[in-house]
Amino acid sequence: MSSRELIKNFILTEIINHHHGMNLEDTHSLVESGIIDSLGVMKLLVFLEEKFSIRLTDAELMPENFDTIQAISTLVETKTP
Amino acid sequence: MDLSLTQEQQSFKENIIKFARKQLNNNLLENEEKGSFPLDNWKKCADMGLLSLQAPKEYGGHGLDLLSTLLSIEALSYACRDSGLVHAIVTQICCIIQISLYGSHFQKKAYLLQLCRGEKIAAQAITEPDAGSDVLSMRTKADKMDDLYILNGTKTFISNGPLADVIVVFAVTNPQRKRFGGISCFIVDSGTEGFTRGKPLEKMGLRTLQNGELIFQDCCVPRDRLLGKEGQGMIIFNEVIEWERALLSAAHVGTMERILELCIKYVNVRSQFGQPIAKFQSISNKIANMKVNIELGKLILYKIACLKDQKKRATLEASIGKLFISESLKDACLEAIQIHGGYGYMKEFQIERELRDSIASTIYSGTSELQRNIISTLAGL
Repeated sequence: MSSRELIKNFILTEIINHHHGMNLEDTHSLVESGIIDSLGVMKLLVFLEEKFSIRLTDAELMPENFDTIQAISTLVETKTP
Repeated sequence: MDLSLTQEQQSFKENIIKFARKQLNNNLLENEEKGSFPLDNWKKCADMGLLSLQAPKEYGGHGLDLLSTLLSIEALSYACRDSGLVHAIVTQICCIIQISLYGSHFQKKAYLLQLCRGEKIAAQAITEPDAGSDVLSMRTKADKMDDLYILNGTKTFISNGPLADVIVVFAVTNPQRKRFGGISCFIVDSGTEGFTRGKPLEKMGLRTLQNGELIFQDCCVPRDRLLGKEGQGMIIFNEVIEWERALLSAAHVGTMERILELCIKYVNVRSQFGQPIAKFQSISNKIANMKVNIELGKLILYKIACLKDQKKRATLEASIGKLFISESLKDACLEAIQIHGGYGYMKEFQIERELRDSIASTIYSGTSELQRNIISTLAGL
């Protein structure tokens, strides 16, 4: 599974929970749609850092880096060799 | 896994205990009665280096790891019976941590040294009259205009607020993105026009801690007082709250150790029905429970310290620690009164003050209900 697919799967199953086959586009705004909130971000952060063995710096913890699945996977790809 | 303290950590703890016992328990009843902040003791703590534990060395701090800081706060709270003073110190340390982690070089240079020396008192302004547990529903706004942010709003229940010279305040910079990306953090000097400190609120406990409202009315804050980046407020809050929960919990563990010691001394001496009450299982069970909670509390605290010192996140652990330790503290205080019987109920014995002080512990820094919410979410619900 690619990092994008892993991230999407995590958001669907662990953050949205009752997604029931929801079609989540890679460019769908997770912040403006309210999918990602403060607790969701923490949950996502823990997942990203553990799953991909990366450490996100405070400078990288900006909303634009977490707004879409595309943005998140781009961030992860820049951090992984 | 070696959980023993280093020689240096042990010595540091012992020095703090000696200092606190000798220097910080004077005038406690009088200050408590009047609701006065012990400024003289604050200065002594500053001189002892207790405010500067976490700050970087280049800005006047000790640059200690979190474990050593937690041990220091634990020792302080064990020996200092003024829980309000200890809480004020933790508040200061948290603000110092915020500026150390997210401040520009200019901000660190402008504030850290004076905060470390206790020359200026800091407060963290987040909670509002209509935004407590749901802190991200805050309404205090920060409108950008040229090189300024104009703050408007009211914060309440702010520890150190009535005395604060430096306020780390959270405000909404983008109302459309409030839940993530719409809140920013600012450093406000108390002399700034448009900023007012309310009078201290009268509380049931922690009476020496000054706690009150802070009002911002067209308060103009220069752009160089933005802490971190615009929209990073929630991230800053989430990071610093882990430290705050750990530090406050360390203080609670210290208090519990003191209370346990007091109870053990009493039950070994107090005799009823021809024997020390320590011989009755209903009493010894209470002592055992206190001891268990202290030791388990220490383990979660040390795990948090280990994670943070490895620059890892400890969101779940900080919530578990805060929930468990604060609830244990309240229980310990209630049991201490029960153990002491009628004497426990009398003001003269000062155990009732410990209970009054402990009640707020399951409210501030996120209520127990909120901690359970966080824990269950991070556990997978």
